[in-house]
Amino acid sequence: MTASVAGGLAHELAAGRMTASVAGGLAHELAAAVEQLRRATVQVRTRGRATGAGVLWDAGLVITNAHVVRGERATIELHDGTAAPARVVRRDLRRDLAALEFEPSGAMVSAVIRDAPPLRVGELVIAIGHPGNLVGAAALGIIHAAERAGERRPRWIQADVRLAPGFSGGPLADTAGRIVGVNTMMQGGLALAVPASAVAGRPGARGPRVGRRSLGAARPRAGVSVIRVLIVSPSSVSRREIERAVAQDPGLALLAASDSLESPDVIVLDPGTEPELPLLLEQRPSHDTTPLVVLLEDLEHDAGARALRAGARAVLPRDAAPEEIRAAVQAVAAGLAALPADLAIALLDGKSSDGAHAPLDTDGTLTPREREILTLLGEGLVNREIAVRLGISEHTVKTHLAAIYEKLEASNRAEAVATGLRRGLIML
Amino acid sequence: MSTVLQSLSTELADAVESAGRAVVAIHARRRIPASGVHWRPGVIVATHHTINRDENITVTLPDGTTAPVSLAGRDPSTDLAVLKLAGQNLPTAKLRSDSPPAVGELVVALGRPGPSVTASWGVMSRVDGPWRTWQGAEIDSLLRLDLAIYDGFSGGSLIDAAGRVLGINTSGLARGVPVTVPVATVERVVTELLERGTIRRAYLGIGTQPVRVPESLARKLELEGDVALLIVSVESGGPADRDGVLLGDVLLELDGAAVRDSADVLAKLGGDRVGRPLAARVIRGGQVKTFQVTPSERPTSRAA
Repeated sequence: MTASVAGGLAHELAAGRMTASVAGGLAHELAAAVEQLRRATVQVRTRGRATGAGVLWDAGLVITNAHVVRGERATIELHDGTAAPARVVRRDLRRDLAALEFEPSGAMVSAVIRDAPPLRVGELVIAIGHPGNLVGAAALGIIHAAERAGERRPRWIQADVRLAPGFSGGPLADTAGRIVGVNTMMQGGLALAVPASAVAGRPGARGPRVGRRSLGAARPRAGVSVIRVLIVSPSSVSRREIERAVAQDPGLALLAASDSLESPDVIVLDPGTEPELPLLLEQRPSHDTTPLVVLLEDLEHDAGARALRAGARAVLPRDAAPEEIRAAVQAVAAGLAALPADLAIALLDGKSSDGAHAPLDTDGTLTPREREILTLLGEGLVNREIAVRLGISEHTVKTHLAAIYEKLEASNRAEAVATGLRRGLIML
Repeated sequence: MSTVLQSLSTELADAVESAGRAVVAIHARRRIPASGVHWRPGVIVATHHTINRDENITVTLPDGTTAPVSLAGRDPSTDLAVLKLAGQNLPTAKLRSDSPPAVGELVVALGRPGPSVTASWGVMSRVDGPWRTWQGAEIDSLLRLDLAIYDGFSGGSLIDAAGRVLGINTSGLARGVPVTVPVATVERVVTELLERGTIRRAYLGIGTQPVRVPESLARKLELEGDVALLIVSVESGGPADRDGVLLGDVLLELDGAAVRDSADVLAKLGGDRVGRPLAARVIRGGQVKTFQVTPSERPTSRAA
């Protein structure tokens, strides 16, 4: 198939002619699709506060996120501005879904659900929500990943669309206005939505089952435990890696920092490549006892011991395997502490975990070894390759790098190389 | 009835589906696989920074099967690596080399960090002329993207709305900012890596530092620029040492072009310069002197 519309649109966008036929028609149709979706979207308020969006699933029935309605009652406001009291009739914490019932007044629009065909990667999707004080805001994106034929339905629809708090519980729809999912959270820049197919027993049913387990109107019971994990990291790449590690365990639930009304059971803190312990850790109020898993770039120089003294319950190297991260999260949630074995032994012995410390000069001159490493850095080698070339451990390379960064006042490899070139430390 | 909107949606999904058949997952690091593109029959292009080992590399093909690949070579300076895949019948990427992407053009970045293809969309935010990476390689044109990058993005293809490949995406060349290495550069690097296994770079064996030439001296010697490069180290036995470069020489010009920064020297040290003399113009002992220096190939293993 020749991509005529897409090609025409691409051409028009590049030419900057937004009044042209394809882009113009697109804008018009998009506005119409958004308007249609808004009618099936409600606002959800709990105790007077706007807490999110909901999908008008059927007459008198709203589906939203469990985290949007905290109590048993809520107020919903329809597209036309009428408000109605609503009652939570079902709640599924695993799926983060809740069903609200209200007394419908007159005829009303309800959502059209898309059961088939399955979603395709690249397909356009529209999300409706109420971020901040905006009501009925729309976001446009594409499907990021889809299920493969023959595999079981995934837990989440992943969409490449930017959502803010306030989109929670609202609809994710295709270009024909059919609901494909309920927007639930942002994770690593991706919007995650509960697939519409996970909301079962729809038409006419007054008491729909939500998800696989029908929890009735039960409150969240203590002990039925999903461990809620909050990830704090300045690096989005690293955060996503940790998120992915955590997400692989169904017993662990990620809290989106931007959307967390819930308090975490465990915090995973990745201070980045910063050698110093982050302020967050040292300035944590003493009454905050949420167990902390800290990932450190460098476990040497007593950094591990200091993290433990500052309140960390688990200390891992930043390149820890996903299994190690999950194990540490579960351990600290159970009230245990977790450390790499060699660090634990070193702590018992009162020693640092690695004997190979580079001597730290303070006058900014590099040792011959450091110059060697800087040159290899300039060739674009990664730590492991440098380690192999020089016949030293990757750990030792990191130690040398930390010293190089400090002496050259650089914060990353590129900066160190640039400074090195400028000072004539790297051979051309 | 929203026909344009739905057609666009369908066409984007079609483009992803067809181009996605040439995108594979590369398993060469812990935790998250990266992406690669089946560029020529049996040849997969990936990014250097996502390949942490030289052996034991596997790929997941679009049909879900796993196959072993061998590393044919890597070029850290363009962040590209070339892998060889034997005995698979996989479509190759449809390349768009006739017309460069335009600013504002709708583009989709594909990845395969696992069995399934992933996509994010956006527009070309900047298209510019040749640029030099921090390791000194020249990239034929600067392609900056306005789109979100996700796990396993690096090594995947950037496609246009018709599913044609515009280049290989990487977050490893510009401090995490997504850029696309254009088709022309990829072609060049793939050809050289397949032939030689490495990218040749010329080497002089000098360390330099920019210095300001005193005004009086500049006037006396009738120099144009006021900044030049002081030679602060000369590798003993290296090409510059052999050709008579002395510590303390102030390098004004190389191959007829003024040098004010180490990048200017790097610009003259492309792979084609190995063994070809360059005219060096220096200040030595208060006099301007011109002589030839002949770069040799950059030693790859200096410390092993």
